[in-house]
Amino acid sequence: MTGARRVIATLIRRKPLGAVGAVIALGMVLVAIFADVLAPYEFNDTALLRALQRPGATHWFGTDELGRDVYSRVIHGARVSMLVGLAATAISIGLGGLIGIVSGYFGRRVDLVLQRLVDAWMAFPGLVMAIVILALLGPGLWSVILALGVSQAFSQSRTIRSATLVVREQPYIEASLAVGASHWRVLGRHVLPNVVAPIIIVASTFLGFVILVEAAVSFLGYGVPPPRPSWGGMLSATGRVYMIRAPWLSIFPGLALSLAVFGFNVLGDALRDLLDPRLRAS
Amino acid sequence: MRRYLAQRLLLMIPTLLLVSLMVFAIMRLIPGDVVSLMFQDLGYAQSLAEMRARLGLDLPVHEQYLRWLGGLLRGNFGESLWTQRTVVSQLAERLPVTLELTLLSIALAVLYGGITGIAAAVRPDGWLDVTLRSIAIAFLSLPTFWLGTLAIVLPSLYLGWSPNIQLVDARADPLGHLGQFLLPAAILGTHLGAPVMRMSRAMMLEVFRQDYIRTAWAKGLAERRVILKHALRNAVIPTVTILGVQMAQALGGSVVMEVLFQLPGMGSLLIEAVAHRDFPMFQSLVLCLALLVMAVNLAVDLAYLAIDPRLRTHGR
Repeated sequence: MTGARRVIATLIRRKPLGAVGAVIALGMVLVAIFADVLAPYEFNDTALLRALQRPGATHWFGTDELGRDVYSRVIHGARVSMLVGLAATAISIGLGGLIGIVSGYFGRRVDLVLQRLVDAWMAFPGLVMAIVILALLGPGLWSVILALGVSQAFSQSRTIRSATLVVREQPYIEASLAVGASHWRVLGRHVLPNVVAPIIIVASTFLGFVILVEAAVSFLGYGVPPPRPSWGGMLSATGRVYMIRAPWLSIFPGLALSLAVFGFNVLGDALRDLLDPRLRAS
Repeated sequence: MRRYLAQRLLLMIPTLLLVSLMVFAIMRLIPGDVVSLMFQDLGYAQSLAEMRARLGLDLPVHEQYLRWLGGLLRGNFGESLWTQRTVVSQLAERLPVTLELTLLSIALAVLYGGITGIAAAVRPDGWLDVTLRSIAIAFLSLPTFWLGTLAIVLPSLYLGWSPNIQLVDARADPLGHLGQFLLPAAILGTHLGAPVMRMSRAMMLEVFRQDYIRTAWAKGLAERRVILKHALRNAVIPTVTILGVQMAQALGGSVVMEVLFQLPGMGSLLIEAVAHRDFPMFQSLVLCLALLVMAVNLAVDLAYLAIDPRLRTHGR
């Protein structure tokens, strides 16, 4: 993408909220990468003597019922949430993108068959599908990633399919086929680069969504297993139990989670407005 | 119109078969150690062979599928391993609760999303637009179970009021019954309403650009009349299409709300079935949820046809 710098410049000028979202998203990723440096304590450093302390100078976000530093756990939670979010999005967009592009490009029978498959898959509520997969795979970080990624993959394919349908009709596709390029070459060299924009839009909004679904799955008892701290897990387990006595246990992970989702959502929205040619023309 | 309907119904057959195949595959994918765990820990059977037989895993695969499908067609959804009751009798109890919750939440989502979407579109990028959109994104960014927990804890702390744990009978106390569903439905509705708002706002903006709207303004019609009479109907149509997708979302969300508010619906039954490794129950529930989504999608398509007369002539 040659216009990456231009997109960033336009984003800041025309969509300040989207730029804020981009900063939040980038910040979250950086926090996830440098969690070890940023967190003052080990995320699993228990000390019952300092359990349930209020936020203060030594423990900025207070401590939980096992005396663990909530600030460090929120920082490390970013790592889990970003890992789950990015990996599940990669699976989902990869799978959904492949189906969408193949379905849209080849059309006819391939499209008919693949779209029935998509119909069937989309008939299952995403959260239910995720629970089904988790029940089969058993608990674990990678089970959560796989379950969230696979359960939502097919709904992503629709958007990418419609983008491919538009690209397929372009003269350069016909020209390329006329000079004898193979379908796979056309797909890789001409179709894929032209559907990158919708893929980025879908991915950004989806990332926020996955973080929320991870939280919901945690609440239902199928999230990333302890002691690894995930925001959803912190909110739903002890956060709910100690909601009144120690509200900081749920306020801070809740804020971090909402901030991340908010960031990815507004970023996705702004990118859609900027990259969607229909809206750009107006 | 009739041809379209026939086509739609015909296309549903392969999809239905695929759905059934997928649900069937779920059962076959249960890891072997889970079967032995069910046998050992939960006391469902006397021997491992009997456990496999109870799960229907002892026959050849194609025979298993045909048998199961045959049962489904005769309305036999199997029997719960845990409660020993037929799935159908349990569904009959649980389905109305889930339907009530999801439909109420979608109705609230349409109401909230529709009204705010239209209001936001009247002055794009004005203060009302920015405020309403920010609120919608905020609702979209908060986990529903978290809002739900707040909605349970705060009133009980400050007002001494807490939601009923037992299901209030609709006939004995209709208002109490509705009140019990209103809170979870509203929480789900605010979450589901954000995409509705985005869609209806975008559609209103699109419609506002059309010539007939300019004509309506030029005729000197009142703002209320232009917006409600001329623009709304055409903007509503595309918005209806996302309701099918929303239904799947609502059913997923209702799992969380049912567990949180202790409503005895299909979602909480599903979670119980997973916890008890009650796979026959689980299998049928997943199938029923999928059928429900498909039925709503069909209904949405038909509604679409009914609202937009153009489709009746062109879109066959």
